[in-house]
Amino acid sequence: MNIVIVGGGELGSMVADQLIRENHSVTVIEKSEKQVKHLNDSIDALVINGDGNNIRILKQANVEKADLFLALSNNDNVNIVACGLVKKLSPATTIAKVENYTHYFPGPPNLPSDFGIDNTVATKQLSINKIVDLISEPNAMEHIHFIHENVKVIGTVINENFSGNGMQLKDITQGNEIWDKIRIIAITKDNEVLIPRGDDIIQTGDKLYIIGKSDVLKEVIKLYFTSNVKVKSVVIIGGNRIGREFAKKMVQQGRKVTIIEEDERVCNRLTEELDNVLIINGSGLNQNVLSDLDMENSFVVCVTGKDEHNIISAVLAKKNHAYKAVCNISNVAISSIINQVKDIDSVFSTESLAFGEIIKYCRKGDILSVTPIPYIDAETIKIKISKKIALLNKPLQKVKFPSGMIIGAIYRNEEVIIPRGEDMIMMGDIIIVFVLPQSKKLVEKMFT
Amino acid sequence: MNWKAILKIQGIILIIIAVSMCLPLAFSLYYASGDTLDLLLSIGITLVVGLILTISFNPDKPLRTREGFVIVSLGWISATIFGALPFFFNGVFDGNFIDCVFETMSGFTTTGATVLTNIEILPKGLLFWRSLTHWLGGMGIILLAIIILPVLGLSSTQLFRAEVPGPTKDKISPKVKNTAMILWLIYLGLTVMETIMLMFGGMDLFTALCHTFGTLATGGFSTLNASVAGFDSLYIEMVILAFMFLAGTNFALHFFLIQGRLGEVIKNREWQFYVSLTVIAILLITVSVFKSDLGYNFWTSLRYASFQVVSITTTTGYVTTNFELWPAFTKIILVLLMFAGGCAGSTGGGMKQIRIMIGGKFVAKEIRKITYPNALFSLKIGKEHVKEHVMKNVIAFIILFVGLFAIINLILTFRGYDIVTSFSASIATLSNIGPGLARVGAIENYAFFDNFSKVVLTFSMLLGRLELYSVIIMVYYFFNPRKIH
Repeated sequence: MNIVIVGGGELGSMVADQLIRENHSVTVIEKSEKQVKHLNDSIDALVINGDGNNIRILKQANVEKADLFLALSNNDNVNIVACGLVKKLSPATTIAKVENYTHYFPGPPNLPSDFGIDNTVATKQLSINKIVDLISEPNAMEHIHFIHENVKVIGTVINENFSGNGMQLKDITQGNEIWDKIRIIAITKDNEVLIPRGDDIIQTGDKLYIIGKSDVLKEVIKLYFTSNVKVKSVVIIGGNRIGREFAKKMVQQGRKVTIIEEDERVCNRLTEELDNVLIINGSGLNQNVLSDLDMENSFVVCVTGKDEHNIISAVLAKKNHAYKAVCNISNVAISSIINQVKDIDSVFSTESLAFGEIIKYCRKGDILSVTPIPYIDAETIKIKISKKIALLNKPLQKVKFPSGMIIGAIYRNEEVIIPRGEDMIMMGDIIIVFVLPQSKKLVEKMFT
Repeated sequence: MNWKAILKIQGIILIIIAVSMCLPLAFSLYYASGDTLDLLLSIGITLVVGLILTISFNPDKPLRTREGFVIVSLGWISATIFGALPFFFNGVFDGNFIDCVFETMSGFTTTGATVLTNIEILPKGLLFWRSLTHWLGGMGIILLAIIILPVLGLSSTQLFRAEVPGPTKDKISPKVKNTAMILWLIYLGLTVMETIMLMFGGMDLFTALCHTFGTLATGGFSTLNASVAGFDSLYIEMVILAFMFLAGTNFALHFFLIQGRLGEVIKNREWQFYVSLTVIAILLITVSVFKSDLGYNFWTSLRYASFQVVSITTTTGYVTTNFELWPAFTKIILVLLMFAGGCAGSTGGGMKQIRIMIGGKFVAKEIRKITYPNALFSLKIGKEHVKEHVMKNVIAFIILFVGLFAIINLILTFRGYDIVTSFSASIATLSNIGPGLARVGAIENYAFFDNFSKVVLTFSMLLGRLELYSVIIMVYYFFNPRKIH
């Protein structure tokens, strides 16, 4: 496919990189000259320096011949206008990243299609959904849905009440009916991400990533990972768009909500707009501000828009006895080392969430989706098996897999199989693979 | 440093060289010219080393930009060393390996300077290999490798920038691999066309191919001692002239032409400049030669002048007459043309027309700036604004070019060669032209230089072909281990 991408920032380059590896021809339009230079050095794409909403630049990028047009810049206006311009020039499918979706498209009759946009990726909404997910089951600090299959990956921390503390993994799981229905795909231990083996010892503080059917997982959490703490209140650090919308949602759910925001003007606006929310004008980095609040058993969400700010606020909040802290991180480099900070329970990255959504729209090949797990810098990939690959119809225990991967689930005839050593991959299966960055290329080659 | 990737790609380049050597082998067998064994031995050695390197190294890290430069420079050096083997085994240069390397480097870098005193005694197989090195080097060995690299799962973005000439590297397709493929296909197409047209002029396939290679790569190796003058045919001269001119044009323009975007070709400022410069030089030289006491009539003057100007501007170096005898004024025009060279993105060498344009406009801009201290000026080529970093890069290039030219000059005069010889030999190698003036003039050769000077000139050719930076970055990389890792 010929693909044109507007915006070569964090998100744009992530998407471009993935698409190039899948052998598409990619042209990137990027405004910043410096970033253009960087892209020219790092990815095999045609990079054009200019504005994405400039018709001359779009023509230069040959949008007339494009099959897919992705407007992923940081500016909603540019993205929307670019799609409108392109729709007039070319039959390409247009996808726009619109951060503030409801601002532009509150509902009929105002629809994205009026602007020639075929699909939108509403990034703010994605982030809010993610946090709502996290708070709905605070004992599981990561949720990834594979919607149609009703399959989910959760991440959960081993607390001191866990019955299997200090035991080897195989002793915990063997012969246990419920453990047979799920699969542990990764363990983080001492800042390291491991693909689990039978002799790994589980200890307090380890984090497990588990795949399984949603209802089974719910039971697992209830049986093993529930702590007695009840979330009493929600503290939101940062009152910008995400924080504001999330606060509204939480008030609807009847929770006690506090927002801490630095900017006085933003605070004033928040007081006008929100009811039943305690709004504090101060910095999340200020110990006095935090200690004034009753943080015990609170769920802290850091969404200031600055990664460093979010991290430090989260750590401070935990020192003030917050129960869980969640951070928004946009820098990919930071999110790959964030598990070094023990106090942060979970992170989400708007870019990664958007990336997952966009990749779903770009599907023509066998890779159905790529979902990053920012906290451990890994990905789950959903692949359809449609080619004759070497490992077809062989028991999995006889196949030599790369070290940085594990097959989490096989979806066959509308049924989910959590594979064991004797199971096989067959033609037409959809598999969910968990993969660490170093093995990604190998895995993509192996299955497609 | 990413040695695994560097060595693996060297291996791939050697395999390409080994495979290419099979073509001269075919001619050698056909003509039974007695160099079959030398070629077979060379193919064997090159192939074995290439395969060992390719198979035993598997890079685990992606390439960094500066490693791209190292790979490209080293690639040309290893191609040259192994490409020199057939000459060495045959013993044409009395076993002087430096001569073999000089001749091969002159081939790959499309210089066309020779250390052979009698070309015609060379066996047909070697003669063909000598011309084929031109053809491989013209569009670029690395560019050929880029087409193959993705199959092996290696990224090649970094290599493209290091080898393709010109201050801005425009890709004509989003993927480097496709860009390389398009360029090579155009090159191949032109090759077929010229070969056929030359054969119409009465050449056999062997001679036609050799001269096509020399023309399209803007190289200049001939199969005759007298170069193109030896055919004494107006038709052949016209064909070669036309294709030299095409080879000196940016290949992206050929691509536009194939796509039917004629307007973009004609409006291209560099191309306009290239055409006007050539026409003006032809007119000046024609008049000058016509008026001198050589006794040519006007048409003969025009014939010799146009061929020589195009041959020198495109940095080919074919000769149809001994311009050593021409008036000094014409000779200095030719020398100045040597500096300019072909267009960016062509197979020609030199500083490139676009750089001369940008440099000139930069000077004009500075003068205007002094006149109106508070005014702001933008440097434009046509309607395109030339970005600050491109401009700085061009200025640095011109300074570096002249600086290196001076250093090579110093070395040659230090070794005792006269001014005109040293001067023209330096520029003729640095700009990848071939013939110069005086002792390296139109009908002379480079055989008389001592070994040390030959090594310097060999290096000068490589510098010129890879547009200085790649080679200098490699040298810097190796000798400054503490500054860059």
